Amino acid sequence: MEQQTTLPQQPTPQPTPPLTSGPPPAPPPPMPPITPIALLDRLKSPYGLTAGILLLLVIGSLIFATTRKPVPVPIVPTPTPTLMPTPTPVRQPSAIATQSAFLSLEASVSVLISDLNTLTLQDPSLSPPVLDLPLGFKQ
Amino acid sequence: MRRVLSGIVFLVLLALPALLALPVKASSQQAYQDYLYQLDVYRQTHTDFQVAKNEYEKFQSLTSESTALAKTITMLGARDMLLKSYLFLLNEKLNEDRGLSQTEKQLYQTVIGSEVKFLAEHAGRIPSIGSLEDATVVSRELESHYIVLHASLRRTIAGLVLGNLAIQSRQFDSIVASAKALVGANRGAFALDKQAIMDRWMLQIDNKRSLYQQKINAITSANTKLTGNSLDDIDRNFTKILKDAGEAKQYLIEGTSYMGELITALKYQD
Repeated sequence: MEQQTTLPQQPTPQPTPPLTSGPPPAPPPPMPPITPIALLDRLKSPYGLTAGILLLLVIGSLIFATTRKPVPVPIVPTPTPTLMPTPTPVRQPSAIATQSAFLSLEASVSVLISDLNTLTLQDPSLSPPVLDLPLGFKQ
Repeated sequence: MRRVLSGIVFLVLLALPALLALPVKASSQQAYQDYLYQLDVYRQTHTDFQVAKNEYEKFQSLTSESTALAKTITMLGARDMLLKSYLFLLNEKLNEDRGLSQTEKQLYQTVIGSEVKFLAEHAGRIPSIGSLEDATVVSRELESHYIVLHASLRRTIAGLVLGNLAIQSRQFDSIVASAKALVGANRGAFALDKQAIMDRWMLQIDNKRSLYQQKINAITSANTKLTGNSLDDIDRNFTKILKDAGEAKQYLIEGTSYMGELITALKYQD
């Protein structure tokens, strides 16, 4: 059976009314006022009923949220991390570690490090005096 | 009577060690106190001179002129004394320095001596000043010489900086020699890879010492030629010397920290 394909209908071009010629368009007819009965009629429809229930839920939850007392949150103490020192690997001292020459060398290096760290190259008391040399008498 | 005398002698002998232990002021400290005193005197005389000069320029009277002349003469004398006291301070610092060789010290002290001589001659001309024009002429003698004098001062200060570094570098060299001897004598006690590590540290230490020496040579050369067209120019060159001295010190610090690493390597078997 051959299936017929239907093409969407192209909108027929409407003739544009002239801008100035002809009488002005008539004003839209006034809407009738919404009476309570008409409103009840609208609510009776399934959409209106759903919207009403939703509105009631929103209002109810807002009232509940503003009037309920805050429940005190129990303070849970944060556990303090305990510092676990990394175990230092035990190293085997060398044969010369206890020799007096080695100990003396070790002490000398410590002294030199300390001396260099505290060394002030320029003596602050040796700044030359600042002099005002020219007498400046007007000739 | 004999007992009293022997008692006095005993007491004196008892107090002698305490008297000997009293701190004796170093000559440089004495010279520094003298310099500070002369600085105060100069500042006061300079203020008086400024006041008298302003009075003279305002009123141009004979009285104000003679006051200005008297204050100028006093100020010129105080200025020379201040510079002389500063040169004495530098001289004492050189005498107390333990880092410079005797030849280097003499070199700086000769320069100081010639500057002191110049100031003494200049101060000798001050009493003969009879007018403000004379005072201006005498003052200009020092003004024209001051760039040379300032360069000499800066050169001597830089010399003292080099002396401070030399003390540390000598200590450094002595420790390196001891470390090399210790490593050489106990080389067999360590594994081959450990020996290689120790050799690398020794090489690094030698490199730092070499860089230090290059810096010191550059500073010595720059200090010998420390001059300038103005005081600012001289101060700029001097600041450069100080910066280089700081870098030289840093090389010594790095070399010493490598020695610390070598010590750690020697201390443990693994």
